[in-house]
Amino acid sequence: MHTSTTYTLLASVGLLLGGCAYTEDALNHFDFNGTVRIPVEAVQVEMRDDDNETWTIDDPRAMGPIYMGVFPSVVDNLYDFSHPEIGPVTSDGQSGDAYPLGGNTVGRFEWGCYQQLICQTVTGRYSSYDDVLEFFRDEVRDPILDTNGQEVTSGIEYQEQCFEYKYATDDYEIAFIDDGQLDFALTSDGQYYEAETSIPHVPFYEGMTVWGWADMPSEGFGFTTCNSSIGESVYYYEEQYDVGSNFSDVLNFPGTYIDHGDYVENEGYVLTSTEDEFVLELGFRYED
Amino acid sequence: MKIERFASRSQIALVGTVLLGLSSCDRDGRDLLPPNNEDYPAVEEYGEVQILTSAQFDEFSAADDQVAWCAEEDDEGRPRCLFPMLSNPEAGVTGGATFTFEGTGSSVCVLADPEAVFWGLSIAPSGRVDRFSYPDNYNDDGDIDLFGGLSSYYTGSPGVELGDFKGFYTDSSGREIEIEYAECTQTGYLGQDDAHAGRGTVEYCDINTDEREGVHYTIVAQTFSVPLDDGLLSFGAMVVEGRCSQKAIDECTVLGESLDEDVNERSCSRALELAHCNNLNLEYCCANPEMCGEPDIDDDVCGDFDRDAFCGEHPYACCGD
Repeated sequence: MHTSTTYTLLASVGLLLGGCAYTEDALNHFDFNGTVRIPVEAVQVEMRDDDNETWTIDDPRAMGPIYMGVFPSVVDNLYDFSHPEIGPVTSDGQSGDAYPLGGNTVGRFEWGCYQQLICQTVTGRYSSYDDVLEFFRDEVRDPILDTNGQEVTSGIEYQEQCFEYKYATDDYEIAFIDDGQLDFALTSDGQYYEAETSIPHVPFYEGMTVWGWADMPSEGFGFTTCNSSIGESVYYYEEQYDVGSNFSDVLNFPGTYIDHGDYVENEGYVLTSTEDEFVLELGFRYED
Repeated sequence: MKIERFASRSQIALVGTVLLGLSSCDRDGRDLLPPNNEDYPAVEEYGEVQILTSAQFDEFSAADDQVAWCAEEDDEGRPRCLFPMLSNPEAGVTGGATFTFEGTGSSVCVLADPEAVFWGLSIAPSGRVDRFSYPDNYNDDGDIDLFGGLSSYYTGSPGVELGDFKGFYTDSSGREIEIEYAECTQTGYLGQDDAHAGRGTVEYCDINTDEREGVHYTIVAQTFSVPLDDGLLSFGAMVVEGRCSQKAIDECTVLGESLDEDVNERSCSRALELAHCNNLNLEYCCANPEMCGEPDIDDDVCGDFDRDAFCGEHPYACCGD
């Protein structure tokens, strides 16, 4: 009797331990780490104001989000730039869906606390409030104005505006200010801006391809991947507006969003193993 | 002695619990399941219909007998529109009707209106919506959901089994991806895709047949719920040229969709729809209480309602006179 009880107990413990043997490795989903590079000349952005005056920004803070996706393959016969393969065209006037397996960005649109900064500020580009003020004043030549039309000149005032409008109490809640390490750093040879990144939780199919592009600003410092009519809403006394966010289908229909001046990965990085670390070089400038 | 008394109380409690348990089994919810009507199919194919012109659409709206008006066929034997009648399907079967039309090369509006009229009872202790303070008769209401797309994408067997408009694309990785080819899409109040109107309510969608003149489209009117009173769901359905937004479509667009087993318009159902379209639900129910639900006996919503005066002013909303 004792013996059978002991066996039963041992079997139960064994079963319990067996149940703990499951790990998420059994899933066919993996995190892929990699590097994104963009040539230094990519951040030379031609600007034009209402008076038709032109100038060039040469500053990595001008970079919009870098969109990266994992696709079944990349082809070169759909657009004037390389592009993921697409499924059937089911709607008139719309490309077929690229059906990405996963994706991520390096930097994302994050509202810059003033209405004029809707779809203008990206995370991982600015180290301080003064950094933002200086960039828009000296590079974009569109100084940040407060609700009374007065130029904001103080980082403290800017911080206060952000705390007020975003219900924040500390800088770590203001995502577009990063006093740590910014997304991109200049490579030792001075040829590229480079960022470490990852694309999490992607189902693995051998031969699938990492591909992406950088949404670079237009002459008026606008970004095609940002939709100013969505995102959180501001209701503050007489102010009522949406703060903008990226379109939700940028990786489904990349060709719809890539426009003049954007930098595109040429061939894509083919993944042959779950251990592969991809390198994306956004070396092709698309000229419309 | 104490032990005996305790046992006695326990027994009483046990018996009481059993009795309570039994009494709670006096309803099994079957009254909420509509019966099957063996005289009518649960799945039916109605063939091809004409596409109504805007003038015909206006003519239909004004017709006294919309069922007869719709049954008129053209030279190719196509009816103007349809008033399908479907039985409640057996368990596990998706019921509904299918019909087809030919693409015109531009947008068409597809609409279906299931019997009859439904509203939620307003029971708010304050701020009650008086119009909806008299309960609807939910036993005479059904619900039909519209789907549609190119017939070549339709996966069902017309008249036998309902299908959908889903196809599959295999990418170069070997992934099989489901693609929705349905084109009769409706947007909800909150902007959500793939919405459908609710019980008793007309629903409609646009289908753009640009560059597909003469190409066949299939419309699926899928049974969502069948009236409890007869297990028979009747509804009006049609295809009209132009976009739905260019037409005034409401509960009174189709007035004759509430049909009995002999395909006759149910008594007083037209008055119900007209009253609903004129925001007279409460007055209609007070004038024709047999057509509405059972109000709470303590809730005298009709008050000193004067039926004669109301019917004199709104004769279209009164029956049995």
